[in-house]
Amino acid sequence: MPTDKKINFPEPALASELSSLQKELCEHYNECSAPLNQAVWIFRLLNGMSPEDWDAFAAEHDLGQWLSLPIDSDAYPNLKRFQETLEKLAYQTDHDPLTGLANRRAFDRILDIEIERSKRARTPLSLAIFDLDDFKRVNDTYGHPKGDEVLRAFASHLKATTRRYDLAARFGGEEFALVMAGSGVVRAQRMLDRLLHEFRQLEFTTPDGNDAFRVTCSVGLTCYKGSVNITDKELIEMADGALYDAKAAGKDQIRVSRLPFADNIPNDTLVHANEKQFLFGGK
Amino acid sequence: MNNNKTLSLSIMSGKGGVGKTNIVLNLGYALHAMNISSLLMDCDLGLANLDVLLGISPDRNLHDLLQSGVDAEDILVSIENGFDMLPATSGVPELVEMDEDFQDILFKKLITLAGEYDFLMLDLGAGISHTVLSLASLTQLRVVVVTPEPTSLTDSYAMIKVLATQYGVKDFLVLINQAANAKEAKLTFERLDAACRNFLNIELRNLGFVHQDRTLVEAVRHQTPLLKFAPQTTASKDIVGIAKKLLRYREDNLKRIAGRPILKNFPSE
Repeated sequence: MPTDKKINFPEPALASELSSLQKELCEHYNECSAPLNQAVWIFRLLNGMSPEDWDAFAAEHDLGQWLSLPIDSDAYPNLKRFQETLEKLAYQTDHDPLTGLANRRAFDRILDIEIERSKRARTPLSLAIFDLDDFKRVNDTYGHPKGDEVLRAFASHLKATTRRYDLAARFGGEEFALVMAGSGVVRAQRMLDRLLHEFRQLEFTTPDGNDAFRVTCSVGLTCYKGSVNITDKELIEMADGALYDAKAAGKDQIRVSRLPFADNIPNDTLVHANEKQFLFGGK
Repeated sequence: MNNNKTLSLSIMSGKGGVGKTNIVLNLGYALHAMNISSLLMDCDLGLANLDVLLGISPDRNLHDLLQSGVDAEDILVSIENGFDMLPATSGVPELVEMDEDFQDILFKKLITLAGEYDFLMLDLGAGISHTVLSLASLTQLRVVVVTPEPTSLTDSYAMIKVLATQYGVKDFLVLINQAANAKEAKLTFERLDAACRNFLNIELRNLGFVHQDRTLVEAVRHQTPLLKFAPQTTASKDIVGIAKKLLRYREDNLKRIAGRPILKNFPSE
């Protein structure tokens, strides 16, 4: 094999061989509907191919699912790359790339678990949904890079104000959410007040560097006490409703939407008025 | 068959301030005077009173049992020979609730000791907290202390209702305290009993009543049990009468008691 070439193997032939193999595997997989994690490992000797060569080749021919391993030398560099790819993918599955906060997918999963935990342990669970006020104007006036800067600043504020076991997520666009396990309305509201106050003070410089502007945020808050049955969707709707109220009331504020308190009172142990009357008057 | 001889009682009340702790202490004293041994356990965790009524300030209490090296004998306070108590803490809000794990450690350590007495009496805190309710469901008998006040009546009824519906406990003995006379005591019992029959389908048992007695206030101030302070006063005689009833119950039911654990699930195999 010539060594002076960047890629020193019969590229078209290899590509077609690998893609037909991949196709075959996919068909086989569909036929027996085997679970995806039961992967088949195929080896083909590729003389003199470095991990970098393989990456370039795989990217070009859409063979990203293939793993390359050297047969006669140290496998460590290849495995390490593989591991890094897995970690990157795992991170991307759960995180919003712009802000580094959890994404909607991770949020949905955690909220579901926290609702279940709250129901079992009868501990409070608060959910806040944030929406940056007039964010479209920021993008329209100062451009999208500035808008991204505002989103990142808000995200880092959110992270700094919350506790380690709170979950901050970006819902998409200029919408964020915060799951506060163990916090009731009063405590959550105190924390959110502080957050809004601090964010309000924050100044952003205009792209031309001559001026500064500020951004505010509206919040809808709701709290679950584990008493009634509720789905994550319903809880999000409650918080969304409160957010709508906050917007309607003039933005830059928190509104609370409470679940009915009385739903959780067990009627079987409650002493009713007729029982009391009986005790007093013997009627 | 574990050949148990100890009769366990919870002394409880929905409302606070009905004289529960005084009843427990003096019942123990009355039994002692009849040569019957008893162990009192102050289960009003976080707000202990039994030690105060006795004028003692024990160094150790039930919470020390949570430490691995401490045994029931180490915290036991002897009031008279064969009349002992286990004190609780005061002023520690974290300790008011006794969770399952704490109960487990506590009773595993206490149960052998408790088995040496004829009576084990748990002086429970007022109210309907989970701790109170779960402890009440452990003992063989429950004595509800009620005064003729309407508030005491409703609180007691509420407590009985919760125990009946949530814990399946249906047998209660009622002791009317601070009654002006026998008529008032009778009326109080009948109201509570009628409400329980009518709404809960439960029949209460009347354990008797204790007269309102000013001497008791004096005895508390002197931090001396009423029976020791004024054995001839009306209330003292009432309590002796009730102690006799409990003793008779124990003697009549020795066979049944022998077949049952002192506290439900304790001793555990």
